[in-house]
Amino acid sequence: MTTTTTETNPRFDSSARTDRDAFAHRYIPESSSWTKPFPPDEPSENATGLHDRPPELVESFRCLLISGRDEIFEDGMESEFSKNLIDLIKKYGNDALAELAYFIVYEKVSAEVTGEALRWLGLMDHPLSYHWRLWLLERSLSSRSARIRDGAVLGLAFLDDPDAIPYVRQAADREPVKELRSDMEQVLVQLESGLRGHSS
Amino acid sequence: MQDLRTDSNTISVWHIVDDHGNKDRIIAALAATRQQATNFDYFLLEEHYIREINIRIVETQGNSPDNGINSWHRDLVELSAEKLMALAKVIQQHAQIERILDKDISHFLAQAMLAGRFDAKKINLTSAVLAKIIKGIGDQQLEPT
Repeated sequence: MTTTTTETNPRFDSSARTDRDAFAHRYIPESSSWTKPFPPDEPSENATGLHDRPPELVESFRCLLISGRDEIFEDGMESEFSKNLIDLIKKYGNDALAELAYFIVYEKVSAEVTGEALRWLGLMDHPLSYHWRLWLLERSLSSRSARIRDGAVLGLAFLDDPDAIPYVRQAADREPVKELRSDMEQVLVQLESGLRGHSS
Repeated sequence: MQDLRTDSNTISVWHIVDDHGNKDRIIAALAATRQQATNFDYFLLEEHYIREINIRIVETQGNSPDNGINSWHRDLVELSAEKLMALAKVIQQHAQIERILDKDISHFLAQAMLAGRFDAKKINLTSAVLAKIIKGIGDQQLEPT
């Protein structure tokens, strides 16, 4: 039987799944000096809270995102940017994701660099940060930039998680760029075929 | 314009036959030159549009891992900034832009490997990606018919 669900993921803060902006404002205040903890049921490889984040993390991200502006990105090819991004996420776990989310959600970085970051969030293999990566990709489908929405939908295609179906469907329904809408629909078909595979 | 990168005023393209019979094979070969089996974005443009803007098309041997397709390689040569702008314009107006998602690319790569079409020395896929594709082939072969 084929089923499509919009059920919330119990491992996720429920407000994140129903009111994404409220979630962003609760957990991603417009300041890089974070004081609020991650949702308590979020997986975190670090025992420390955000207020204890390593001080070099903010600076590392600033340098990474600035240097990324000078790179030319190619599909399917690693870049200095992608290698350093993955290293930071593997080293600092969800703290790194939160820092990246701040830059992306508040559009502090170019669409080109953000798109590359989102594609690699989908490609990288790091189970401990999975839910934050999924959330950030889903959230980025609402970006004002078509390039960022494209990076987000590609990242979700790489993750291939049917949980993203309702978000991709909503994004496709409101997508004003014809080609991008078609790309989103293509990803929907892939995700829904995965759902059929799981339920059969 | 960002995607039209030239090398010595030349852009490398591939000739697709009328029935598109060589298209998937060319895509597989080009995908194998990357590190990751990710999405593959491309455009299809009728050759006459290129000739109409006075861009010269030269048959040159490709350097893909699949020797069987390298004769379909072409170079668009002597590209000035003006010609490049004109090319960008005809692509925007007349090209068919398409995307193949990573899952299908992995499938194309697996098929090409099973058929023994690749020169291993020219493949750039990382060992992790290769292992995943080979595992996929193994799983497929183990599936009951």
